[in-house]
Amino acid sequence: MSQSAQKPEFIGFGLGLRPVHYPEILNHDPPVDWFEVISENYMVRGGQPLQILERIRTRYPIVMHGVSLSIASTAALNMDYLAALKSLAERFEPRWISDHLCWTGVHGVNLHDLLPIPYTQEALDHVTSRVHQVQDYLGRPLTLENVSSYVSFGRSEMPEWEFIAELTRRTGCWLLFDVNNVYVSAFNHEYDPREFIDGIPADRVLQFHVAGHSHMETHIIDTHDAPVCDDVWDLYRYALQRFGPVSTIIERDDDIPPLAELIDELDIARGIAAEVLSTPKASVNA
Amino acid sequence: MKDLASLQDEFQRAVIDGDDAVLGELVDTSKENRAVLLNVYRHAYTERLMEFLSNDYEKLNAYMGDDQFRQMARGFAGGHPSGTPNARWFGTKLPEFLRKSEPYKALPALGDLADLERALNDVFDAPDAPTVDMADLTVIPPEAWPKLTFAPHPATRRLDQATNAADIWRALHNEEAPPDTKTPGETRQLIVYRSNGMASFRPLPSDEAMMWDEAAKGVRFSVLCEMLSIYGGEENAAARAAQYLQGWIDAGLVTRVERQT
Repeated sequence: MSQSAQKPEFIGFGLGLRPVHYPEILNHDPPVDWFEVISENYMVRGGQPLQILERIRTRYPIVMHGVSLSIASTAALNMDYLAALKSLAERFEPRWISDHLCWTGVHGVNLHDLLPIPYTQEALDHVTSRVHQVQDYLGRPLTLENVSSYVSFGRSEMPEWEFIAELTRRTGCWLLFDVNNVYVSAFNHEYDPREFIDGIPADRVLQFHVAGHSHMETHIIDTHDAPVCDDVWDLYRYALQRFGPVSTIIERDDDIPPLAELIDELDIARGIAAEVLSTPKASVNA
Repeated sequence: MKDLASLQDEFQRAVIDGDDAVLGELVDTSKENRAVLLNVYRHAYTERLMEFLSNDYEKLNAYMGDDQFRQMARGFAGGHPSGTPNARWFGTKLPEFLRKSEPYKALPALGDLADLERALNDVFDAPDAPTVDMADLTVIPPEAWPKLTFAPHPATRRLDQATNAADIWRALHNEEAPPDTKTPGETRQLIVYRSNGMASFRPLPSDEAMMWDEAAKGVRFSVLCEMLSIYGGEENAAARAAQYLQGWIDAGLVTRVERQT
């Protein structure tokens, strides 16, 4: 799988699909351009979740976003999981399939967390090989998201953005650029988040996440349970200036508010994008 | 320097078992010690597993109270690390854990309540399948009826419970004070099923439960009627069989009717 795969088109401003919003979405067709669905939530045998997703995807484009691919794990790839992912993608035809640049466990255990990796040549070679395997199996490029991290490894040989840039160069994978995660990791590891953004190849960024977090004074925890803060909106603005128009969602995983509140928040993203993308500099990057 | 696999092994042991060896690989920041930062992962791991169990066993949590439930859930999680990519399946062995482990096994209603919640979860996302309706039955000639068999819909489960767990579930569902646990001395038979996409259950009279269990094994209708006659008395056995069958059909519990040769 090479970089020659065509970049999926810009699909606008969306939300993470959450079951609590199903009735409102089905009954009122809210003004959301697309929905990102958690892949694992639909890896079930039948019933209402799958039926509802069938209905929603006839009205909105969808993207599948997983949490258990464990692309950076040294355990063998879980082929049952990959088969379920591929089958789900064949049924629901997402615009793209994403997961996280992380590992979730070894020895048959899943910690259900997005665990950090050292940024070493060894890890880069390992992840490169795994991305190739997964892309070959799925028959399409993967999209990988940068995660929030709380610890860093003394053995790291390069900054995270360099690791990501090289990974995408080697594998042709796309990037789901989580603006909040960059903000969180930059604070936790004491670097300038703009340096991260500047180090990412603009043409590989396919999607943005923006989200809220919890500030613990000495570190920030990526809780996705709060509105997007001003600092993250500023970083979103900076990312748009560099990457141009990129499909965006508000990602809320906990303390999920009424849909109308998220749509209001999405309108902030739309407003910032409209403002930034109307400038000549952004159109050059696009 | 250890390889990536050894590092991941060490990190996982740090999160699950509290082993601090991985701290030697991590760096402090100017604002915080690496041990505090590692604890973010440890804390998140425990909380996430608690949340999975609480979501899947909401009524059990409500009945036990948060403190007792968390203590129980920690005990379960300690012996059952998740091995599934999907959180949906993490807690499937909780009912067995409650039946086998002290102090919970002394209160069998807890295991029954967990069983009931697991069955409700299981039918909610069980495989889709067609349902038989009355129109399908009315076209079957009377002479074929004795040899008919009825296949249960995959979104059905049968439970036999010795306790009043179903009453506890119902009270909590209705936001009423739940009764104390009881073992009334007679088995309560329940059928758990999916109706309009939602999981539901109802008690079955013992003769209907027997008829359902036998039908699920592929026993033909004439034999079901005979068994009902022996089990529940000859009077109105055929009428009762027809009534029970109609209830199953109306509730979408039957996926297929076949004529046995």
